[in-house]
Amino acid sequence: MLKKIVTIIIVAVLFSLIACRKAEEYVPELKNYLVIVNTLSETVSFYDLDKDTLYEDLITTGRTPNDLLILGTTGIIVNSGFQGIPALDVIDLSQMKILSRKPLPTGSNPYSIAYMNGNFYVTLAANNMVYVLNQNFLPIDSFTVGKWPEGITAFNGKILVASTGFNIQDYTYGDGYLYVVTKTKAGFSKDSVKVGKNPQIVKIRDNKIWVCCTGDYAGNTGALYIINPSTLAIEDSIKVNFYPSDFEVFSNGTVLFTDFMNGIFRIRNNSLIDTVMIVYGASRIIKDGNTGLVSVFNASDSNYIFFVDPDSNIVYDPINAGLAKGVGPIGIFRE
Amino acid sequence: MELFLLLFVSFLPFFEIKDTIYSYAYLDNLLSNFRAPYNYSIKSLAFYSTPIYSNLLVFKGYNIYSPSLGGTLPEENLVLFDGIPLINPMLGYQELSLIPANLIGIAEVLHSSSPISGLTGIGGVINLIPLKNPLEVKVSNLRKELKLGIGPFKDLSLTVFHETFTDSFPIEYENVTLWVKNTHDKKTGFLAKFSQGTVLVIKRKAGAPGPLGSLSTGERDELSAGSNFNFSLKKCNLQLSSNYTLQTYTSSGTSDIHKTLFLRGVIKGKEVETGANLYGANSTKIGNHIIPEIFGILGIKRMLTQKTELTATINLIYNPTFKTLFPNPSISLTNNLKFDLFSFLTVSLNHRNPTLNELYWPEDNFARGNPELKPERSFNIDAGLRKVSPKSYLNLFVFFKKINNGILWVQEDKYVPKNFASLSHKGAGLEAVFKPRKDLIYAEFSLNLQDSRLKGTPFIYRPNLTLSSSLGMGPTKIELSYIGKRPERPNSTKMLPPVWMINLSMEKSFTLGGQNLAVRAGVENLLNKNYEIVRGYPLPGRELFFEISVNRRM
Repeated sequence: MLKKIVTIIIVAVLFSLIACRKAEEYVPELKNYLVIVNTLSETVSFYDLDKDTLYEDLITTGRTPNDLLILGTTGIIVNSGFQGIPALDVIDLSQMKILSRKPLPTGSNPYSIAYMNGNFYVTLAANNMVYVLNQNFLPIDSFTVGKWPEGITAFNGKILVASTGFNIQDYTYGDGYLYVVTKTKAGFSKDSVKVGKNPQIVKIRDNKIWVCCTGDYAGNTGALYIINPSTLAIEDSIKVNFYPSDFEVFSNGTVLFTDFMNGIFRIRNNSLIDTVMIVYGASRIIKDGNTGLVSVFNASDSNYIFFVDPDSNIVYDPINAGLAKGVGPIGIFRE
Repeated sequence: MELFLLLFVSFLPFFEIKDTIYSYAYLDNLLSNFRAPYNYSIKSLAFYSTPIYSNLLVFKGYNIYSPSLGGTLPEENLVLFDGIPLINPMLGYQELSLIPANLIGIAEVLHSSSPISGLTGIGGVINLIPLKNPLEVKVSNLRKELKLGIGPFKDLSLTVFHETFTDSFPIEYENVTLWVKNTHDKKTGFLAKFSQGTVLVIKRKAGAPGPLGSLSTGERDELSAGSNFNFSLKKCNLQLSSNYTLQTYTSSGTSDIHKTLFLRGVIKGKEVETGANLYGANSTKIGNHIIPEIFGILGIKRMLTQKTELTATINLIYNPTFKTLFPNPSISLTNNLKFDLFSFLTVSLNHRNPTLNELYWPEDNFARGNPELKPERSFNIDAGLRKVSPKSYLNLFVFFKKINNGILWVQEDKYVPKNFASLSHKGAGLEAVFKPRKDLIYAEFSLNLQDSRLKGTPFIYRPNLTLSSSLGMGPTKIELSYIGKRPERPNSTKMLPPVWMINLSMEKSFTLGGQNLAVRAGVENLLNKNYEIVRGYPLPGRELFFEISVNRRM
């Protein structure tokens, strides 16, 4: 009898130990993820940078995802809504789950999103305006900004908007402007500065405003503009003989930019341009420390995320992000 | 073989069909691939919103309908109207919404990849057969229709028709109520049937709204004129067919004009056919292009045993534009297992030429053509069992198609057609028709299991499971169609939700002034759901209709 009891106790202890080990395995680990928005498959994949593992298609987005903003553990995807309804997808990145989908005006073609002082600002390109949403993503205000606004960011209590001048009727590009918008008691005050053709992206780097003008895809190639945020004076402009779709600024002023048809390029000393890699589909760039991460889109073959060292100009450790995914916006999520 | 065809033809009056693919083949006693039995079905089209007929899935947009047989691309299917090849060389097929719904009574579908005498149809052939009721008036909350048939006078019977569709309708989409606008569609025309042929002329003015979220919209003015004539000569038969289309597309104040012409002439002997096809276009977009093609078909038919027959054809098609000479062989074995039970097996090769749009579309803001495209090639297997009796019809089939060099529009900086795809379609199905008591009860049932893959990944919009069924009980008809969930995007977990379409109608027949009149009322899309067969195009909800017709046939 005693033997039996001892055996049962031993077995029970072993089981509980196993159970403890199992439980330990479910203790949440610190996350170090690359968040990948697949614009064609309309899904979000997560790449564990520590485990070198891709978790494919964990979330399905709305229709035509175009931008990703990460705020703490929340990811917000802007769905432009072609073939459907425009919407924001609000994602809990730590749980890798979609929390809610917030509709935006039908046919407004939302493009990009920024966050400032508790409010979200979304460019509605087809409506030539910016929607202001509160923490619950309910619209509380709006303001117009030129024609067909796309890129948007916030800096020093101001909203910066890249207005492309795009005309949907004839697919031409008018003058491009950077708008600087400040909320006042009376409404919104706006300043603007004229930049090159088709300004699609605006970023703040080293306390300067950087505007990426893509060009009109019809002979007028693009340029990067560096603008003083206080005076709105254009301090420098870097002409590139390409149609840049995204850029990032690294230490020593080295710039990486992508051209969808031609590849990844580097600018040093604000003028010298050399080729990092000739590749079709180079689209978005983000910065992780002093490393550039580039998403490489493909509609029929493998998609990749490339890691680029801007100093050595070396591309290393590409991540295969899946077949025909159409990788687009990417972001880093760390706990 | 003949026994089978005789049985089948004798079975046809059950459907009250005279001019069918099978009857053409049998009566002509010619060497087309239709002589061998393939997966074949006939569906009476009593409702408009039916999205699936056997494994023919109709991709419905707004005023654009594209047919897909067994998962294939619309360009890989051949559409006939009462034998007229509705070929648009720019598109590669005729979009089906051009054909007035009130003109079509029956669709017969050959789910096989056999060419009809040199016309390619990797997916198969759809023949739309008109009803012959002399008068039909129909009104619903979405459309109005009038059809008037005159004759026959000597060799000619004439049907004129007019049909309109509403300019807008509401939809409920992701809990938001929207109005889809610019959907108007007005069609007028006539169908003339002679003893030796058919002429169909349709004039149409329709809106061309884009999908949801699209900022583009336009107008289409269209004219379509098609003909098909058969002349019996001394020792052969001459077939002449044509199809002319004119489309003016206006958007943002600019217009594009597209004219296309398809011509075809065939001389058919007992075991040999020869002929030529001409595909032409004159377009403000793609310019002027003509692609000629000549072909010859040689065939043999042998009884291997008392019950087993071999049919073998080789279809040689030379195309100087692509510098190709395709020998498309087809070998069929049919076996009479019992008196009314047959088995069949067909193995064939086929091809599809690139369309003129795929080749020559000029670079615009969205797309550009690819003059380097090569024809697609397909390898096909069809097999099955068929039981035919006067009161029932059963067909159990399997199919496999492997398409190499498949042409698809790929999204790069713009959409570009490329020979990049390896496509495969495999499936199995069951079709059954029961009519135990004449005119009182009948039931049609079709179940299809299918797997379509593009480079090994599920192909978008292609469901794994579809079902269509009809039940008639006296004056009541109920129809249930189901399309299973299907990939919404390439290589994605994102799925379009299933479609459950329920239609029902009640009919009362009576005689008035010596004419058989029928009054019919019903509802389509009973569940009032705005289904998306194609992403971005939620379809109208519930439709209530009322119809009066003379000599309407069930």
